[in-house]
Formats: sequence, C-alpha cells, structure tokens
Amino acid sequence: MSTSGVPSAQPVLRLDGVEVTYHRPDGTAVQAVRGASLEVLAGEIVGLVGESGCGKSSLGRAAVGLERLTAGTVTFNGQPVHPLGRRPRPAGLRPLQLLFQDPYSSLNPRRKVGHQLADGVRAAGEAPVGARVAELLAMVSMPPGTAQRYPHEFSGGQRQRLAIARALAARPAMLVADEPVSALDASAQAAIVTLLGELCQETGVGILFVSHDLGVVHQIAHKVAVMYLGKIVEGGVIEDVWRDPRHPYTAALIAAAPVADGSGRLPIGLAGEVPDPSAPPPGCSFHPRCPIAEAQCAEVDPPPIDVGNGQVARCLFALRTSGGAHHGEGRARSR
Amino acid sequence: MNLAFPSTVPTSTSEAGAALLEVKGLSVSRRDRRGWVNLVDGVDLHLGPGEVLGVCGESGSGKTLTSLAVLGLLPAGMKVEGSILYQGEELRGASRRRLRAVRGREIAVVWQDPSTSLHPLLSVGTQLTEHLRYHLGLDAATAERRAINLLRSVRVPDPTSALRARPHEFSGGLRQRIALAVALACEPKILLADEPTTALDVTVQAEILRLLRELVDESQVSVVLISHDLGVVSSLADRVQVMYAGRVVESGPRQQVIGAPRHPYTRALLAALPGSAPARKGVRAIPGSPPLPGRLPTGCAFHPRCGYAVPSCASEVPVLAPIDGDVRLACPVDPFAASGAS
Repeated sequence: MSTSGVPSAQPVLRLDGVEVTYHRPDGTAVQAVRGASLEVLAGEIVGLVGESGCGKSSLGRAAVGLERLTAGTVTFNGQPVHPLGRRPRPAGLRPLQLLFQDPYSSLNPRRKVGHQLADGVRAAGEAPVGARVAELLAMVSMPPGTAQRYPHEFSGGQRQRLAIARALAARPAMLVADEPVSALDASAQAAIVTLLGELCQETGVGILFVSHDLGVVHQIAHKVAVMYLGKIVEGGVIEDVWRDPRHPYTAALIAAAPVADGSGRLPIGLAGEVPDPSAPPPGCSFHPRCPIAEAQCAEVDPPPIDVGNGQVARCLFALRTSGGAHHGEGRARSR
Repeated sequence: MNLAFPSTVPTSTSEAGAALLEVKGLSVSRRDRRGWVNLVDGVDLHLGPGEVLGVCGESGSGKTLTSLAVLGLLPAGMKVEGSILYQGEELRGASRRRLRAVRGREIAVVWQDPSTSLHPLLSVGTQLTEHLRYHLGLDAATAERRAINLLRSVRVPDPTSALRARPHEFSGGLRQRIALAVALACEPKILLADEPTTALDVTVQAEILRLLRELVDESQVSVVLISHDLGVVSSLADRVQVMYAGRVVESGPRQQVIGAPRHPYTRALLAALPGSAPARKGVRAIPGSPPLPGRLPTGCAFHPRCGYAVPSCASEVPVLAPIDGDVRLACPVDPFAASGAS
C-alpha cells in the first residue's frame, strides 16, 4: 500500500542480519539483537514494536550507527552505517537522523530554541539561517516567537515538536524515532503522531518508528516489525498484521491492550516472564509462554514463513488460518 | 466470590450510598510570586465499599495531588481546603499521629514505579513484615507466615525464597506484585493506586489489572485508580471521574462516561487514544495544549480547545451538575446530549 507510489524504490535504510551483543560486567554475552533484517522505503513509516528488553532500541541505535554490530550490515542510501567514535560523521550520513524519547533531555535547557535549531541549519550548510529556522518552526506548527524562548517554557508535546524541527534541519531522508511519544499524554501523542505522518507524506522522509505500543504504531505506520527476544518474529503491512496476526506473540500484544469502550472487559495478559536474553530458550524463543506451543516448538527455531502480501511470521503454525489463541477475543473493534 | 456481602455489589453504589471516603470541595493551591495558584479546584470524590473509582486526566490535571491530599502527603507550603471524610472522620488537619495510623493500615497506596516505591536495600520480607508488625503488632514468626501468604495471593512464585530477596532481583511486573502485597498487608479498606501499571509492559499490565480485579472481588477493598489511560480505567473501574486542569469535568458509571461520554474533553481524549481509530485516518489530536497552572483560561478551562464552545464558556465556570442518573457533567452546552450512545 505504502509502496504503491514508488514501486521500484530502493530502500533508504536497510538492515541485514544485524546482531548486537553486549557484555555484562561478569563477561556474559547478551545478544540483544539476534539477526534482524528490515527495510524502510522513502515516504514509508515502519513501526518496530516489542516490550522492554526485546532489542528494539538496540536495533534502532544500530540503524543510526550508535551500536557496533557483531554481524550484519546497515546501509543508508547504499552507504554503510557503522559507529564512528570521535571521527566526524560523513556528510552523506547527515540525512539519517535520530529522534529521542524524552524531549526534556534531548534539548539543551540553557540555550534558546532558535540557537539550537540554527546549529542544525549551519551544519547542513544552509543560509540564511534565520529564514530556515522560521521555516522549520512553521513545519512543526510552532509560532515564530518560539525561537527566542527556552525549552522549559514549553510542554512535553511542544518540546517534541522542537526536537523534530531540530532533526528536520538536516533535511533528513530517514528518521529513526525511538519511542518519540511514550513520554507524552494521549492528546499530545496523537498530535505528534499526526505531525510525523504529515511530514512523511510531504517531505518523503522514511521513518523507523520504535515503540512499545502496537496501538500507536497502528495509528501511524504503513508496515510493522514485531520483536521478541532479539528477533523479528512477525512483519508485514500493519493492517494485515493488526487484523490477522500470525505469530502468537503479536496476537498477545493486541489482546493485552486495554480497550476504552466502557465495557469493563479486562485485557488478556501473557503468563510468565521474558526469559534472560543471555540464555534464550531453545527452539522458538517464545515457546515457554506461548498458548499454542507444541513439543516441536522447543526444538525447531521457526524460519520466517511467508503468509502472503509480504506478511512474514516466525511461527511453525503461521499458515493456520487464525493467529494465536488470543486473537479476536481481546480486541473487538472498539468504537 | 464473597457472597456474604450482596449489598456491596459495586453497581448499586450510588452517590447516596454509604461512603467510605467522601471528599467535598477539595482545593489544593501552591504559593507563587504572584499569590496562590490553584492546582486542584473544588474536587468532590465519593468512594463506596468494594467500589473501584477511576480518576483520569492528563498530566497536570490534579489527579495525583488529589490522592496526595487524601493521604496528607502534600509537600509543605501547599494550602488544602475542603473536607476529606474517611468513614465520617475528617482527615484534613488531622494529627500526624492519626494520619500515620490511617496510612498503610486503613488507606494504602501503590505508586507508579515499583523500583522507587520499594526500598532497594531491604529484603522483601523486611518490608512486608515491618508493615505487619508496626500496624498490627504481630510477632516476627506470625508476620512472616502472613507475608508468605500475601506473596502467594499476588502470585509471586516461590514466596518463601522471595522473602529473602531484594527488589532488584525481580522483574518490573513482579516488583509491582510485591508492592501490591505490601499495600494490602494490613487489609486496608481503601487502596489508592496511582498509575499502577504505567511503568509496565502491556502484557504485564494486563496481568496486573486481572490481579487487581481478583483482589477487589475477594477482599472487598475499595480502589481509587488514578490513570491517564482511559483503557486501563475502562477495564477496571466501576465509576469514572474525568479531570481537566484541576477540576472534575465529568463523572459517573464507567459504561456512560467511557461508553457514551458527554463532555467534549472526554470525547476528545477518547478520540486521541491509540487503537480507537483506524491507522492514519481517524487520529484526532486535541488542538492546543493543556493550560499551565496559574494561567488557567477564564470560564471553562477547556473552552479554548473546545470545538463546541459558546461565548458564555469563556466567562462562566461550569458547575458539575447531575444529568442522567448518576452522571454529572460540567458543560452547560452539552453538545452530545441527544446523540447519547452514538
């Protein structure tokens, strides 16, 4: 659906077999990302969803060159992305920008908003600076007087707009947004989600939207990748995955979200805990918590299975007609 | 579960029912360079036995300050007006000694973040038994037996060894279960749960909500559930109170307030929720931002952001008045009166 305008487009961002490993103080290796591949096309928003510890932030950081890869490649517009240490970022990577979760710590509290935006404009080599700053503020619907004020004078939602303006200064082709709305109230969340959607449509920027909230991803994304314990367990067009999840973990995520319909129906949880990522369970990592697991799931690591329309699920039973046992029970169409 | 108390079926609790907690005209204000700034403005709250009251609103709406005022835990220098009646007893201005006896014993709290509400250096057992020994005067052995049962009731696996462990050894979900066990240790009549699931993953949140439901059904504890998440409130609360800029704008049974809201703010908040709308098409953000304390708009605080405001909204503060049945609404325009459940 999202790709219809640019069917043969090269992906702006491509992650191929990415692995990220951390080491605990005692030397134990923790594989945070265990071979993840995804692509983002121009003008496309891909949601990367999972719960804490699933590796989504590590993958997001790897996508902008903030993590050293133990295997795999990240390419942006065809050029490799890897950690640079203290070396300056090549100009070719400037259109690859990162947007952080907390707009309270991502802006400098002691400098005026205008000055902070001007830094980005100058780094992009643009002039006149003042006019471009005004243009950036207009793009995120902030009044022109904003430039003369300090970050503390703004609400969380407004600050996230300013952080977006700051990222836009580089005229990004790709924006990796790590939980950009999870620190915000519902109304501010909706406003930022709408803004990102509009920017994607107007400027053609690709967005990798990292979030713990499948509902928010459903609002904004064209495609989705669901992560569990370092692996992408399901991916596809968001409407397909939302309507008919083929991995029981995706189905559980959908069923666990409480629905504000006044019915008093309780959401459905998931028993057990996320296993220690330094010792993932054998076979399918999800099998100890899976409602439909069978004996073979403890032995076979499921390969990605294509269920049609580009929807792929790493579940041995992905081709059964319905997704997990939970599906349809927890979330009927709410309003 | 508890068939001995048929009269405490939550839905039968109306404004007229016997109140466990009755807050009347609660106002909280803080001193500023220019004078007193109202943060909570004339909030009423009524909690019946075995009832779950959901209080929702965005940050800055005054929902947490209301609960802190009930507990007598507001920071020094804040002015509290109105009345806080617990079983008919006035808690506002009560002695510190009396408040200490009420807190934890009669009214317990679960906070948002279990990693800060539990003491990181003390074992789970110490934190549980301390409570039992202080309030109930139990001896060490009895308290420990009770603590094990408590951990079992909140489904902490292997309760005996959990007693010896420290909070960091548990996941966020288990820590919140432990915090619940601490809160429920003395069988309080009221549990104030302030964003109890906000820090948790969604699948863990669902488990905690189910646990809370069971605990309420079994122990008949009354709960004030404070949350910014209307979905959370909708799945647990019997009655719901929506706050905006320190005032209650709508209150009533969950089915009406969330199922068929009448206040434009409640409507807007629901429309802004993820999952309420199909992707990209129906997301409706509320224009503007919530007002800052001390810079409250005149009249109805929501009028500058409201699509249904009439000129009088800018001058007259709407009164929270009964409309249908138990529903109260602070909106004289009431644009959704006819549409009802649409």
